[in-house]
Amino acid sequence: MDITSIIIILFGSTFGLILRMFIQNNLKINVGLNIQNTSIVNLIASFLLGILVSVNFSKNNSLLLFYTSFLGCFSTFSSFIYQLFVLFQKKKFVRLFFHYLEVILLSFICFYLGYYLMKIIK
Amino acid sequence: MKITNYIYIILVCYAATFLRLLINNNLIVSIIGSLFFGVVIAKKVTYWKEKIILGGFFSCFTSFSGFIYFLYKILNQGDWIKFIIFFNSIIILNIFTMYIGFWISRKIT
Repeated sequence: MDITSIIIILFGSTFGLILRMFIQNNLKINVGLNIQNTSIVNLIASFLLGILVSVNFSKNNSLLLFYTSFLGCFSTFSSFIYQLFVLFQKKKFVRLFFHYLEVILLSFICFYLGYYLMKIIK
Repeated sequence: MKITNYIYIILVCYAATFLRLLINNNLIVSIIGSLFFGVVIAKKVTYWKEKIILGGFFSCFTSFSGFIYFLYKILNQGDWIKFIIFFNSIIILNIFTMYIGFWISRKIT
């Protein structure tokens, strides 16, 4: 790993972390669904991932680092599992099932939205 | 004090990112993350320690986008059954692992 890669990783992870914490702490929106701020962060990350995939990021080193550093620190899988774990602990299995489906479905919708949006622009 | 805590969050975030890159396997990373996340949430920690460990380290260590990208690659193969089995098993495995971490932590303390 060269110095440029390390700088990109440090910059990307710092920006991803700050943006996630800002959204998690400050965003207050109510869209009628049981969507929390952590899920909003993950949906935005899915949208950005869709854009990256459509530009074929795996062939570009800088974009690959952007994916691993920025998106890796911006999105959070452990908090998503924690949300499900809390519902599991409270024995709210139906809510757990629907929350889980909701997040996965919306993530893929956001992903393909970003993907096709970028394809149209290109 | 507050600034020092924010610096700690950024530093653990860097450590988590490099550790994730070193392991370079989303499934292993998510399982390790869920296990230790479970251990931490079972303990009573202060607000800032929670922010540093959970928000700084584990959130940067595990990656939702990596999970979605992994599922996208399976979906691209056109195998729907494999896709459904994979995403359900990953979620169930992670919830179960977090529960194990939580349970171990409760038993120890």
